[in-house]
Amino acid sequence: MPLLRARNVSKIYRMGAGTVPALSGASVDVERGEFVAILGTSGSGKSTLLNLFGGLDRPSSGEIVFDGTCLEGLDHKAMARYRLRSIGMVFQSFNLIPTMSAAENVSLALAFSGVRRAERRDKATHLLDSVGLAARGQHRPSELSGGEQQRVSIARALANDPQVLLADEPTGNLDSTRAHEVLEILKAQQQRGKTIVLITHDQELATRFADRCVRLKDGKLQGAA
Amino acid sequence: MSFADILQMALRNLRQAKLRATLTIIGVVVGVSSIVCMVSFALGLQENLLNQSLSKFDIFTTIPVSGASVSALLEMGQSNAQVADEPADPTQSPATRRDQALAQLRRSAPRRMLDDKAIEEIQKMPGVEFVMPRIGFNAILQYEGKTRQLTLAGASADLQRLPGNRTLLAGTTFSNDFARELLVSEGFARLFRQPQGPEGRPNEGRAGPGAARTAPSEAERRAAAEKLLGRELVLLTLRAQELPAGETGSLDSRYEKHVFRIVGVLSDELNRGLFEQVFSGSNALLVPTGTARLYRKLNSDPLSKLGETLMGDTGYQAAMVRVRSPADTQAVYEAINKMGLRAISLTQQLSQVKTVFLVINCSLALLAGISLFVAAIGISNTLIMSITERTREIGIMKAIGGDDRTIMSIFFCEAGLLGFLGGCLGVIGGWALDTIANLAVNHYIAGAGGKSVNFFYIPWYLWMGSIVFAVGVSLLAAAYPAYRAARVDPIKALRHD
Repeated sequence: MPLLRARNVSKIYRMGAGTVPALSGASVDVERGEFVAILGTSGSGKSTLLNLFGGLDRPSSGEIVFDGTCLEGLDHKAMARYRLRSIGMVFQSFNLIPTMSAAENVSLALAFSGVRRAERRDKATHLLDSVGLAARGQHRPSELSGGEQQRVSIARALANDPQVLLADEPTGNLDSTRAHEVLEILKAQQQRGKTIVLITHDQELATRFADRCVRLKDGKLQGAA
Repeated sequence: MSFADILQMALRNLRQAKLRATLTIIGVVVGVSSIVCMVSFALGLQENLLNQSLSKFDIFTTIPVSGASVSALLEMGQSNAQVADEPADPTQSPATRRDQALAQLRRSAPRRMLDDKAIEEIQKMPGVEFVMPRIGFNAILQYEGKTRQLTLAGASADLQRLPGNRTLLAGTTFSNDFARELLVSEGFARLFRQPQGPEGRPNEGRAGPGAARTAPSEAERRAAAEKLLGRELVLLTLRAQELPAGETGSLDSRYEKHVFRIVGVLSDELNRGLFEQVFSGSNALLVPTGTARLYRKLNSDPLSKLGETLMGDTGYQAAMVRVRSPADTQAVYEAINKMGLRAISLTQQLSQVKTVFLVINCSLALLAGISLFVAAIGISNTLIMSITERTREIGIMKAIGGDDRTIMSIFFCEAGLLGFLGGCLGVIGGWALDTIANLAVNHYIAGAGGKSVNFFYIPWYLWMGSIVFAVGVSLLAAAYPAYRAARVDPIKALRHD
């Protein structure tokens, strides 16, 4: 059974009087421990699909299934729990809280899951160490480079030991060296048993790091298996 | 997320917008200060009037108590078959039915004797300062060649326990409980004046219709009182032993003379002990309690003597119970009535007065509450601004697993902190304003030669209530912003700049 599955998923946005279809009947299965890259041009609905996988949004039709559970049936609270425990999200623009230090950003995700303060501190240090930022814990995002910020963001995504990492153009704001570093970290996480879904428009990076690439075109996935 | 984490986060958020938080807190401070000021003024008024001034009148701290009358005691004794020489009537006559109805009515009347045991029981009640049994008796007295029948009463040597809380103008209190000593009112000499003639001609020249009478000064009163000290009154009692039959003897040989000396003169101020004056009559002539007991027995009428012979003891006519504060009155009053004695109290009237004050307090609080309402709008505004600024942050928190409840809690906590800080500072501000106003008014009063008065009263429940109220209002003001924050769409929020 695939760990993450999209079944004939459509998402239609209302824009004023009209509607804009972002996804129209997309289907894809992601197996446990797999590194899948979803490729597509700008506006092809890549991020929409990732938001649906991440439980940030709900499909207009079709269903998203995680580990046998359809996300449609989850209420607000259960969905928040799903985001907290089962998945970790990495964004193109990092989405770190600017007023908190790197360590505090990582700790916040741990605080949401009720981890005690002392344990939180140790865990955050360990996570930052695992992405090569042990010495930068007390720095605010504005004091870190793009690559470093993204690594903090990955450390935060890993905080509650989720099964899946969802990365939405994580290298979009980075130069190629930093991009490679970030993807190396994601690849290492796959080797530790995590399932990775990477959204990118960079064909070269996708083929280099992912086990499988699927392409989104006109709201449908091609090459999905 | 634990409460400590939420609190920390709320504090961090407030620190980030220091100026805005400060201005919002000032709004709450103004609201709470005005509530504290207004209500403390009303409470001060209440405190000054009810607890300070009125308590001097003893109205709310004095409970007159009476016990069962001799006739009631006899009746009860009969029903308990203690008086065996009167057999019960076995037939049910109409008169018996009437007696039963009367007995029913009498159940509300005192059923217990007011004896030393009862007095001791009352004395042990919480809140009771002291109990003074009233030992009054009639006596024939001679003073400066004039003879009058007057009422005397027993009084404690302890000046604090003098009926009506009166003060000594001159002299001292009794030397012992059995001394033949008298404490008299400063106006006691009036009791021995000639009554006015039928023509309305005043017997004493100084009270002539045209003569303007001015109130004597304190010094004059003291001087007049000093003159009374050491003067003697003679109390007459019948000789206990009848003269042998056939012997008439002289008039003097039929009674005995007991000389009493005036040792103290009491101030005649009527504003004090008003309640006691009403219930215990004139206290113009006081003798020590032991002496009063003795002469009451010597001078009691044959009917009372017979009652005592039948009952053993008929107890005291009445007693005055003094409680420590008006707050104790109701409980003591109820407890005494429960004992089977009859107590009288004005607590009902007191509670009505208190209701009036409650209305005044509420109106003032409501008026001041308007400013707190404005402050609440300020809190709402601050939080809504904060949501707009922190939309992206809320989106991030949701994306990494923060649930609606946690996000709402953070906003409620921020509002609670604003309310709490504003409330605490507001109470301090209110207290400071009270102190300044009090100093200013008392400075003016002192200039006019008056006594200094504390116009404001801030009891613990006022300052604590104000803080709780400020926090409550703040939480209420946060309801909509917190709900809105929890409902933020994470996708839109993450796109928000």
